[in-house]
Amino acid sequence: MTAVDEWHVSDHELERYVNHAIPTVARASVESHLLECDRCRSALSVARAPTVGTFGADATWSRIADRIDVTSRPLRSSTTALQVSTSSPLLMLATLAVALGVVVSVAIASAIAPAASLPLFVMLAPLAPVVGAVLAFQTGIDPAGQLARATPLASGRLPFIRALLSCSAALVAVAVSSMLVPVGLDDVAVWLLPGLALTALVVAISTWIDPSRVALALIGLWAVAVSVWSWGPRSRNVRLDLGDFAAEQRSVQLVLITVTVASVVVAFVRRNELPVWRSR
Amino acid sequence: MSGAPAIEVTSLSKRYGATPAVDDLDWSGGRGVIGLLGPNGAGKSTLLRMLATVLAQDSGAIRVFGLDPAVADERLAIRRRLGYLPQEAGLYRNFSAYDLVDYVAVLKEITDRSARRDEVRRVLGDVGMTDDMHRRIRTLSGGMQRRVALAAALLGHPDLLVLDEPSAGLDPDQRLRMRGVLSEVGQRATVLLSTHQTDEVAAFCQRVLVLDRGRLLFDGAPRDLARRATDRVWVSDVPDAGALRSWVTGDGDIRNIGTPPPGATVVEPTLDDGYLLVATEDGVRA
Repeated sequence: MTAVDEWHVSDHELERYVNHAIPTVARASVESHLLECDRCRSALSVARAPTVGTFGADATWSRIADRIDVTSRPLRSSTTALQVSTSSPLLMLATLAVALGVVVSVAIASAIAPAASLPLFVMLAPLAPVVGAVLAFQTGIDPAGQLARATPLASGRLPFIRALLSCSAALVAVAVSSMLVPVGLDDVAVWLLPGLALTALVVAISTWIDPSRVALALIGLWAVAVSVWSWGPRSRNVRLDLGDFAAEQRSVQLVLITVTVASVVVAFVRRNELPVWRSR
Repeated sequence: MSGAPAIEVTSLSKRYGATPAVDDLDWSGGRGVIGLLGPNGAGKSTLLRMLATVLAQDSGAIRVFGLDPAVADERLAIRRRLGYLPQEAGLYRNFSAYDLVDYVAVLKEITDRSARRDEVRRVLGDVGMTDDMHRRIRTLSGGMQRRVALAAALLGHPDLLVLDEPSAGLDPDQRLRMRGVLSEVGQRATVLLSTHQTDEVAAFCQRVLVLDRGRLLFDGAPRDLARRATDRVWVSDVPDAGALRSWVTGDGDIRNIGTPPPGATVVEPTLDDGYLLVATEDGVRA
């Protein structure tokens, strides 16, 4: 069969037809023409060839697309887990805000009220990673919103990996701010252990109930405890207390390590019990 | 429609406080396009969310492909065969349409880069977004954003598509395209969609469910729903006080459903009539 008239489907139209990107009426017109025209049918068979080809222009285009794909997402290229974990701009921004908040708060306190800087640091240090981890469990943090919830990767791993990354960023910020207050290397355990224990505990409990509620309760208790310790009627020298804790309270440290390890085990075993599954 | 049931629910219930959203529901469905009709607050979205494994029921049983979504491993297995379009997707507005769908493809474990690119382009093409795939979400109209979300649901050729009002915000041409795509999917998979548009159900659904206050009022073919109103629809010049419902048509006539009075001009029922009759009679009984 030969062409029935002078008109033929342009390459652009054909590409739009293949990609289902032309209006219904135009599509019907193209289809009726294809039934009659050998030339356009041949062009169609070329247009329908795999776009990820291995020869000539297709292969070149494929390589270019791959390169663009990689260079436009430097943070998302190494592994699938890292890719999806860092694909939440909202979480990245929130984590950055928490980290900067800790450093800036301690820096300001050191500059204008040095006596308050150490208690403030002790108060914020364990809470920053908790906030970072809890942010990762918020349903609104995912760029795909509700669409993400029914996907396989949302079935447990994703929020935990995100919590780990966010928590780690917060801990780095705390480590930086520790240089602004009189806390020695020996005292690292003082802020790191409670931080790890509280964070792991929140993550573990979040496999049963809303992590925000757990975090708020723990944050409140910790803030009150540090305030009473630092400024209450029976307050002592915080710096001396920290030294005592780091040097002598090995049993307390052991308890915190035990809580951390046990919570991590519980969170791992119950990693598929996401808060979203229980929510409304 | 044929095939083994992809979905089976038994005595399924979900309440929000004292209000039942889904009330002791028994139902099963297999391959084909199934429309879910009902007024606002009927429980459509709640039912779809439970079937899409994102909401736990209060009581009763759900089986999707014979698997229990309450069991973590089985839930994961269901999600690997599922496409879900929620009523409000809540997409991040600074991603491009392509990046957003690509990201969802990763969440759906399509990890091979080339395969993923082809698949993302395919689904965006299916919903007519090829020319706009690199535009940011925030620059897209509501209908286009809806199509992006639908594209994400279509990723990976799911065996079960759960779509909550997929045609909301789409213009007639886009609705036509969507029907074509979903009809094609319905040839090999189960497509369960909620809608307020009876014409949509009539156009391409093989089966229709009517839900109200969490209860299933009708389950059958669209033509059977229309037949429910056979000899129950009449036109008049003024609203009939004895009718269950009366409304003015585009022609200026008064259309009535209920039990026609003697001598009334009875007319052929439409799917709309059948739906309104079923929903209204249930309301009267309640």
